[in-house]
Amino acid sequence: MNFTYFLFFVCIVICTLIITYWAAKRSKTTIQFYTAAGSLTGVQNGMAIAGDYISAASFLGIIGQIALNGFDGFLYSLGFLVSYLLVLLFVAEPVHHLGKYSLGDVICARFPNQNIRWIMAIGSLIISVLYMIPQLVASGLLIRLLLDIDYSVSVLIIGSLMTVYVVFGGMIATSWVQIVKTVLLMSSTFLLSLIVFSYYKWNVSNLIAEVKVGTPLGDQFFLPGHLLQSPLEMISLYLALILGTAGLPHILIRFYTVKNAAEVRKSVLTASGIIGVFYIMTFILGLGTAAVIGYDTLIAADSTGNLAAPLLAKALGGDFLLAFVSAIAFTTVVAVVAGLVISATTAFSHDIYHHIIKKGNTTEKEQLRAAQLSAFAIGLISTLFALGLKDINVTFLVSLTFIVAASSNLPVIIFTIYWKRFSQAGAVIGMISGLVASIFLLALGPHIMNVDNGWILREPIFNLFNPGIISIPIGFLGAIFGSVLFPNKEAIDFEQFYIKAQTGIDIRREAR
Amino acid sequence: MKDITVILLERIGILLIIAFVFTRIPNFKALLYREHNWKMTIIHSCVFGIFAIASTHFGIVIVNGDIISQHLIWSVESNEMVVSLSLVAIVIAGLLGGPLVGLGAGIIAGIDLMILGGIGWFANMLVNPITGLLAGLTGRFFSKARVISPIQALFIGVFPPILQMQFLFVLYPQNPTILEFVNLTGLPLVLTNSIAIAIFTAMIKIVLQEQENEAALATKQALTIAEEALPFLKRESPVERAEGIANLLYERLTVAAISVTNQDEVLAFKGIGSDHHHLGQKIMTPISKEALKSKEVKIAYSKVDIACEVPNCPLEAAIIIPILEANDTTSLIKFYFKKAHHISPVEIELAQGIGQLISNQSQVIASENLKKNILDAELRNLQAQINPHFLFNTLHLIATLFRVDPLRARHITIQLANFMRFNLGIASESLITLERECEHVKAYVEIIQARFANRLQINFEREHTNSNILIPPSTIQPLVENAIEHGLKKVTTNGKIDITIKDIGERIEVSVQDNGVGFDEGEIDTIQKMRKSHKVDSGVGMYNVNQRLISLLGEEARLYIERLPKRGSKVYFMIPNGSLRRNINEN
Repeated sequence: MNFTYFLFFVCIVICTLIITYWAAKRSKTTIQFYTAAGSLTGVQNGMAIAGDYISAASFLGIIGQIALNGFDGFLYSLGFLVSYLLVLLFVAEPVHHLGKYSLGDVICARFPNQNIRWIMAIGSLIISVLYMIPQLVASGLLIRLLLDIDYSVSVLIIGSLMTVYVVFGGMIATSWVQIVKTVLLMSSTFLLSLIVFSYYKWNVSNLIAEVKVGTPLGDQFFLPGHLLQSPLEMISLYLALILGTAGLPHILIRFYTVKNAAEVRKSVLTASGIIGVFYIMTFILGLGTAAVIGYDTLIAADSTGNLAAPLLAKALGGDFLLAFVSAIAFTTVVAVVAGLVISATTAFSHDIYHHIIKKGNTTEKEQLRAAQLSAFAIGLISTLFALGLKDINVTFLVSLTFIVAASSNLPVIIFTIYWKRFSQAGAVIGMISGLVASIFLLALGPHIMNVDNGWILREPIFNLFNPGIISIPIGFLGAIFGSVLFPNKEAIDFEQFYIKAQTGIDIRREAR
Repeated sequence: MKDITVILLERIGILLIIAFVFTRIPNFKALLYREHNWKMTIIHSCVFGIFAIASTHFGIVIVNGDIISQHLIWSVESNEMVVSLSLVAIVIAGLLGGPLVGLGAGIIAGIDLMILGGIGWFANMLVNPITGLLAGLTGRFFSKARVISPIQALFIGVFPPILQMQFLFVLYPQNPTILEFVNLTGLPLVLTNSIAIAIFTAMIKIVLQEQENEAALATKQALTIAEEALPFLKRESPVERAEGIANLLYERLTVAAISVTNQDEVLAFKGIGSDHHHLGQKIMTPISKEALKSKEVKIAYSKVDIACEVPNCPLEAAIIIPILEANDTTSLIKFYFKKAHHISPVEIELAQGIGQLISNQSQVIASENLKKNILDAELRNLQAQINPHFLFNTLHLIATLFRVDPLRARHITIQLANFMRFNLGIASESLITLERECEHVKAYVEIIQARFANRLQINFEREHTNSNILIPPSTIQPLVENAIEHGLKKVTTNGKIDITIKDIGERIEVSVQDNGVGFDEGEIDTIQKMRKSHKVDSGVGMYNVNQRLISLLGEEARLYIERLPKRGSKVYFMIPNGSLRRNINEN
């Protein structure tokens, strides 16, 4: 391994460990562990959300997609951004008002029932772990490519780092690692884009002309229709992306880390601003890659296009810049997986251990202990899975995550907050039908059933890579039917609940 | 690459030595504690800017990938490239002084780099101010502490060279020289910069720690001073008190002068400028009045604030400390300094501490005095009440005497009148002359003698003493009364009481001795130690006398009670002989 790479790598590790040490001293209570005691400002939380959300797949993958597929790659990234509109308008503030630590808290604020909590906790756990494994696998592969170290070593390093952050520093360490990551990622992509522009003497038409030379698509590069030919497939993908984000537990629990609704709004605005600017810059970098590196070289280095950004950095600034970009990619990876570990931890230790197993009868100390132990266990298990599943289809797991979040979590969250006649049974049925439908449709789809290289070598029964367009309605319909067929036995004061969800004012408590 | 790293580290070493020497200069320490205003921002920018310029000239020059090692860089040819170390100073400026100082120092360093020239001068010039600004913002963002920890600095120090390299790429695109330069110097610069910044931060931390230690010492000093001020605070006369405190503070503190005032005028002044800062000057300055009114420590940073009439008065700055008593500012203590920058936060803290401690102590003293006064008034009222039995007995005696000895009766009547008049007067004075006290005792003795002529012999003996001896009124008489009622209770004949007043040098001994039953240990104990007891017996009178003696004349004047070897007992006390002029009413 090149010494320059090693130095940057060590520097990032040291920095994040310092943050963890600092956070560990402030992470003495459960509220600090789970939510940083609401101590973040809106802007800080927005940066952390962006850090949580922009995965290595976005940073490296999307640049590659744009370099290879042109406009479609950019369009793909837009889905990630637009989803925040939904989060901002419908979900963020009610989640902050209703919940305490976990997503289960939100639903149980309306249906205080153990079964509901079970389902929400399991759902959150599945989504977080399902999302974490591909992240770990992908980043293991990536770090192997960048730093030329063994796959298992890189997965072990990342796995142990994320576990250390969460076990010792809880939400505080996670948030600050994510903030640092956002700052580094944004500033480095910004400077890299400037370098791309200056490479073409600040002349955009020069750049575009070079892009057309560099890509086999030629003029078609700036037109849609290369990545996703089928409109159905595209709509389906966007549905899952846009609706899935609003159901991702690791994004939603971030709204507990600020102190009031105004800060919640500010954090969503900051996050979407950062993410928007980021994707514009990835577009520039994608163009730069197509122009400077060219299609053939890129495909030759790695067929997925994931090495676009590192190759570009090397071409523009030699080893030094490459080392820096690799370090950024590494930070991106650890920040995202740390966020996932904490969300899985919350689901397990707060919902399952504290509320279900111990019925809420645990001391502050026991809760913290349990949270740290479960964080450790989750980190360990995910790392082991990632070590074993080196050859798994990463895109399959990622799309599964978003589709499950969109078809099982989101209907329940939306109906809980907004639909008066929504019932407990509806919540359970909606959750389960969404989950089952997503898994079933994906299993029958071309990810698994594939003539060339699928797990099951045959023609897919269901011919969509992205089954969101079917499974999401199933989730919603399941919830609706469940509520209509099995309405609530006792009347719930929805008015009071709704006011609390929207304003945070608990009128029941005040009337007493 | 290794060579460059080593050379850069050597150069940084020299810079760190210089920086270390600077941190030893007292004025540099003052720099660390300054409030942020425009003037200080500019001064800080200049200081760090100059340091950055020095760092640039301590750098190395690279031509075509070769290092040209010079001792100092004075000029750079157009085909040469400077590897400047200025970013170290700029980052420190930003971290310590905030974004504006960083920016200012960066601009100064940038201008120097522009003049120096060479390949890449434009990027080098731009990166300095931007780094300063960003370092300042980063410092604010990550840490609320004044100085971030060295490890954090190690991390932050990695990025300025990266920024510089990226600037080079942005501003000199498709330039193989730049690419070569970055690959050659990028990593060494990252390493050396971050190490240098971390060490520098550690150095500043040490300086700040020293200041904290100084502050701890100052706290200790304040406590010592407060303790030492106690005797002066107990003085009755405000002028004496002020003088004592002024002298004490001037001795203990390193200030140019001390003055102590009451609400309107200067009571004491000690130190430089005492030739024209006279006692009795009225308090004029608005800042002093403000301190009096707001009860808060005020600081005068200029001659205008001090407003001395003498134009070449050496005092330029002052800390004005209000001393509170019962929530009112009763006086001001002022620390004067020759220069405004002699006032560091340590001094201000010390001043505040001393002010608080002295205020507390004067309050304690005031309340103690108040308590004493109340007690005294109470006791005097008690004494003013004449035992009715005594009055009836005496009237009976007089009635009897009218028949046998009218002259004697008349005499006793006059004595009774004297005795009563004296008792009525007791409540108005706390100390009287020994002469008057003796007359009182004599009157009492005569009355008693007349009553118990056959049972009791009272001798009153008085050596010649000074005329100005003071004694609490009605001190001796209760002792005599006690000797009669208690000591001679069971004695029917040959009772004997000796009252003697002796001059024993510095003190006058007054003793009352009887040949009665004497006290038992328990009773002696009661008289000497008891607080106010509910049982009213002979002990109470003695106890009161004891308390009054102690509270008015001090612990030395307390009552002593002795059992005599054969029978009877002796009660005596010693009062100061002569010049004591204390009078509680004066206060």
